[in-house]
Amino acid sequence: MQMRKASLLVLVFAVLLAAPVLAQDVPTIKLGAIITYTGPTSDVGAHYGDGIRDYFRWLQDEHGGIVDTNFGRVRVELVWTDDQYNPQTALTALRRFVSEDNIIGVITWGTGANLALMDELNRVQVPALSASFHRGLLDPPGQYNFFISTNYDNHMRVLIDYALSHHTGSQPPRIAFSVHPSPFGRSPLDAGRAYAEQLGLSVVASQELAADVLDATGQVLELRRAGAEYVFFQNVAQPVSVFLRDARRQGLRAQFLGIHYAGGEELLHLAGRNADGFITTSAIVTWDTDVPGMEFVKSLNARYHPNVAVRPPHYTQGVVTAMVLMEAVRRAVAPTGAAVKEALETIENFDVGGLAPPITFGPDRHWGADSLYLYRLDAADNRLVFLGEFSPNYE
Amino acid sequence: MQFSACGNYKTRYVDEATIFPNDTGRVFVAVLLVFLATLPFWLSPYFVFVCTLIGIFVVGAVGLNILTGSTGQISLGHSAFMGLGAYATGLLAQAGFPFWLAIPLAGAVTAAAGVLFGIPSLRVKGLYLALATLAAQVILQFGFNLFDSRGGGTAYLSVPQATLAGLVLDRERLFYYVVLFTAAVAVFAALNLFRTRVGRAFTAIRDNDRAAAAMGINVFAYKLLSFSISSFYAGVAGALWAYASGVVSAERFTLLLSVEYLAMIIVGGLGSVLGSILGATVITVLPEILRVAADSLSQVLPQATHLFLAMRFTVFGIIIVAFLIFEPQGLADRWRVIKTYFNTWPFRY
Repeated sequence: MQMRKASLLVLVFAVLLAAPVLAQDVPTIKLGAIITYTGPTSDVGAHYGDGIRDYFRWLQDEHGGIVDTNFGRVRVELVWTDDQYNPQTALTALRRFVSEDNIIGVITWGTGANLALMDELNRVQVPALSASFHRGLLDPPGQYNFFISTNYDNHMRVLIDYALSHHTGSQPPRIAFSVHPSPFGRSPLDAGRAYAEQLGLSVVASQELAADVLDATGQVLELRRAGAEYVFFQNVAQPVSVFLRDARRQGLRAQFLGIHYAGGEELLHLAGRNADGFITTSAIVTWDTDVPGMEFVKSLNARYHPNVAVRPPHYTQGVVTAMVLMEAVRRAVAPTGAAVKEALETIENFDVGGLAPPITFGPDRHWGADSLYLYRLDAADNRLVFLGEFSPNYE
Repeated sequence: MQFSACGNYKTRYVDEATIFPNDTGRVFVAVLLVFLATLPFWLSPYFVFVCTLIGIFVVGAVGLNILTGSTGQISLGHSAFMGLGAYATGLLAQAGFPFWLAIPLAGAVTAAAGVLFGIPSLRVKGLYLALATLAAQVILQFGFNLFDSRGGGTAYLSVPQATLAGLVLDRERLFYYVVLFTAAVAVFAALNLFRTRVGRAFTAIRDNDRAAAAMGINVFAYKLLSFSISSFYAGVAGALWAYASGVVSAERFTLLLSVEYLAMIIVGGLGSVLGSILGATVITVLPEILRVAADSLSQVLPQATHLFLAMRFTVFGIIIVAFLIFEPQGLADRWRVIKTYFNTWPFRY
């Protein structure tokens, strides 16, 4: 009896002594996420944010947030906020995360916010993985900005290549651009126009379509008058769905093509049969694609959002971005932003389970992939048809 | 030193118009300024940045209050004027102008634009003027967008950090002092403005413009002057904002900010300089508090994230409405009540 009591006491003491030691052994590092959950572009931004947060919730629930890195075992914590697509809010949030939470890496959303953060990121030496594929973010090369796909310009070039290779109508083909009135929307315009001229296409119009637009009749009629055969969108799904509705109403018969954030399941959901035949680029595979990594993404969504059945690629994109950042944290030699940046630059042919083309970064190469996927929206089957993996012919 | 008067001993109208009727106010303001100057030493860079933003919006709100609160000309274009100041600063800074020259120049450019868009105020007032200034907002915002698109969207104005005699005024700590100084000067200039002939003319126009004209006040000239002073303040606020954030983009200067400015002066108190300060502080800090609250609630209950994010706007709205119902005179009036209470404290009649 006495013996048992003593051993129990020893056990209790051992646990009491060990507990704080165990907890202290694992230092905490923090990563940030500045996402657009409300405001313009939040229709796709919220999916992206859910993907990032679900990944880190899974990491916490399954592994207690514990990760083995080159600088030892650490507990990873995600701090995040909603920037409302407002660059000032994003900048304030970054300053808060850097000074209050000492983050060593951050995942960001929009082009405007990222442009506003560029200087600050370089100054505080925290690498950012952005959802914006704006070419200007990587200029000059080798700074603290990264993104996982190729830039918007190349997305646009692939679309132009595709349109030209399937063209049967007039000569030269008449094309038009319709973009979001922001640095995000306008970013591929110059490159797109130059490439079109180089290929001998005729650019008949270049329009802007705001994110909160409710009627696009004016824009549609202009394109009908100009006889546009191809309309290239750089926008988010919501305004594009409005445009497609009015295009059908006004009888604008053209092939519609969009970059990454315009298309996907979201557009099919919003525009229904009006979106039939829409062609979109995507940095990420769709929900129905049969690749090894998709099972994990679906399990994440089922676990944390049991009432959401289908997600656009931007959810998967959030998960993939989080995976890439975590890979860099594992490879980093020290718990600092500069070390995570160097670690990102060592990532080569990183396999994300087929969810995206393998990701390769380098000291002067901060875009993750050279190729992208093309999909055609099929309203009858309510799914996206895979057209192939492309990279621009342009050099 | 005299800290309180136990009666009304004013013998001249000049005494009525003094900013500090006794030394209590002087001591209070001196202590407050010293306290504000110590903030960067013990606050983290994030909180210093929030204080910098408060200072910037104090300048802007004082400007709008001169126009709307004191001259009675409602303006829905204040954020566009602030944007104009920011863009002007961006261009001037890139052209190599030092910040102490770029900030007033940006203010002057904006003041000129303010006069231009103030011209309709001769013919229209009230809600009609609100629509006319809304046009200013839309036109200027469109201009910013066009400007941004010059480089095919890759163009955005990046503003270098301000330097003074070789010393870099970094955005984390030192630039705060520039904002503090500017805000203090702006506040004292506004306080003094209402002790002058010009300020009295503004008030006369607000109270009854026909009566003011009958008294020989050149209503049109003074309205335009009010527009130009108000826009100058907005331009200076925009210039400070450009330096503080390091990048100018059109997305910040939307109609929403104009409405926020109106909320600032209504919550603070129309026609009161002190009200502008209190209103700007509340409207700048409140969303930040709500954001932090929503973020931390979402960390605890991740499944209800979308609810908390949406709730922020509802709570913000409810707080504004509550202010209008329970403090219709604004925070400045509450401050006056508190002051009156302490006037005779602790020996009340």
